[in-house]
Amino acid sequence: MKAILKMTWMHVKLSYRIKIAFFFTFIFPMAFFFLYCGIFAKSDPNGVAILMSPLISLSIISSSLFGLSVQLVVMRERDMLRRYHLAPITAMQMVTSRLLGNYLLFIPVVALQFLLAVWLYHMPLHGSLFGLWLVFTLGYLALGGIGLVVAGVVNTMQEAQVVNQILFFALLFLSGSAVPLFALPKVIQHIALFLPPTLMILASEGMLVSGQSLGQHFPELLGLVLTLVASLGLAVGLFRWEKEEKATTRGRWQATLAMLPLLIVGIWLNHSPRFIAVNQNTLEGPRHPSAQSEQTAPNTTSARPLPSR
Amino acid sequence: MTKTDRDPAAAVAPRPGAGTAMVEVRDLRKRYGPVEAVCGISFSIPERTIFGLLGPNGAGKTSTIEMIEGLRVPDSGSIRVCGLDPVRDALRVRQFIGAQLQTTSLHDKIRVIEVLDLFATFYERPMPLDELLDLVGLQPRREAFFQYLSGGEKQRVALALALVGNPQILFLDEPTTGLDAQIRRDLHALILRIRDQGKSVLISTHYIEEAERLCDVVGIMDRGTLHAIGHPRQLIRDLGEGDRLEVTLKQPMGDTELAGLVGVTAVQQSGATCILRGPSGGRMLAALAVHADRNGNELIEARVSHTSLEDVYLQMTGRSLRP
Repeated sequence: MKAILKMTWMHVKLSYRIKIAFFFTFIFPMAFFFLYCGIFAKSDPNGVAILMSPLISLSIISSSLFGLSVQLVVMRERDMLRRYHLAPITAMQMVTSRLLGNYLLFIPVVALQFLLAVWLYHMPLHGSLFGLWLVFTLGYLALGGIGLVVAGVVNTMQEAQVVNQILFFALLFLSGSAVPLFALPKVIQHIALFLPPTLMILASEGMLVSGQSLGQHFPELLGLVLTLVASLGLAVGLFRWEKEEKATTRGRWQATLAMLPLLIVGIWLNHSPRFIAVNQNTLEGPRHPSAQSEQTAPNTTSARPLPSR
Repeated sequence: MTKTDRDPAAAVAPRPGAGTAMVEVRDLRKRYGPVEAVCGISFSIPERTIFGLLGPNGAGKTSTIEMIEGLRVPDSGSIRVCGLDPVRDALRVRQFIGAQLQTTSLHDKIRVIEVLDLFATFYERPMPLDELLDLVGLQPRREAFFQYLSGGEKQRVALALALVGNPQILFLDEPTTGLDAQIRRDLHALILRIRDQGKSVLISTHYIEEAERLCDVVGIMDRGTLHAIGHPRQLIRDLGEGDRLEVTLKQPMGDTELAGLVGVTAVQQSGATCILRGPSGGRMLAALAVHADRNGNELIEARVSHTSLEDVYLQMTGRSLRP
């Protein structure tokens, strides 16, 4: 545990010293914050509240794939991991410390974005802050785990860039991070329910905009937890210290197992009238928050299938 | 001495007062595709011993060391480090070994003290950092970023990382390659100090002088095979102490003709150069000069020296270690 904490802290410290890491950790998310809130939401408090979850989702996807995943591949390519390999530490310790380190870099940015959203744009804060923190934490760790799996199945930086670009754009445009979920065609909405960022957006938006409770978003939380467990387990199994050690076809097939919890949860959510009812506002479109809270309470809303468009 | 009259594994006798072997290697083999990098080598390293693997690039030294460290899995054979298997018991073994890689890559923006402090947390009995910095001579550079260190300082950081866990046995893979003479001498002194602290050291090198100066036991390695093991002086004695005359003639002479010269006990041809051995280099040179003059031949270059480890290497492998 001591080794994990020390490596985590060192990772955080080093990220503050490296200009490019600092840019992508702090400047880049803040630039998108002002873009989303000032331009897309036109500084409207409710609009800002609706866009906060997609904005944070974007930061997480970017950090997981281009931060966490690429960092690990670079460390392996530059033979940095070899030096650690000679020390009495495990792949689990290394992977966990990288994930925790990036999470610790991400949390202050999210806190700052929330503070600025409330202070500058007067964003209304519904729902529990603890619940929001938990959702974003699970979302970060689940997506981070996927980033680490990618690092385990690619051999070079070039391969990592290709895989990460594909995943980045797929997650960005299919999950409601770039285009709001309600604006997506029905078929894409169905697909979106298989993606971790969507689960995070649905849960956080439900709490932040509609004042829903954490318990109402149990399915999304479960999906994120299962994804985290599966992806972290696979990331440890696929972890390689040496650049000469190449990813195997078997390993790549195993990596697809990380998708299994998402598949199960996605099928469940697509066929759960209760889930569709809870997230109706997010999936159908923004309404005034005061009206939404009452409408989306599970015991007052009749269950119906995903709205057709 | 030939390859067959010496059992490399049996040649290493524990130093007086030493206990069991720190490292035991038996019939170790490693193949990379069609290339057999390590071809069934065996040796052991007693306590408080500097064991050198001497050989050119591609001899199999790094593969051997990395298998002992547990970084690579052998195709066959057995390795025991303090009685443990370095692959199966990797975490336990790494608690009491320290290793310096040929090149060490670290974050550019990490300070010397930070990286040592970080690695110290991985071990159960780490060395006090101030003591370690003093030992490797990095105390004045403790706050420097890794990227701003010179080549020699980076090697010292690598050595410090190998020592930070207070290891019983230290693996140094060509630690002085690319360093200037002064830094190399400093590192030699440091390695001797480490041995004197009771640790065993396995060092790979392609520098003859380094092996002669540092090692208690040298293993001569070439093309994956360990040709001989012994104390450098013993290996030289086995070859036959005396002088060597390395000579280049205008017209090449046959082995028989050269062997017939006064004072010559052995002849070896290495390309255009002939190497003559005998009790006195001066007598061999005089005899050769007279013989060449009588036969209208001419000495282009001649060099007399005492028999060295290089001669042992040449004898064992049939080729020179120097390019």
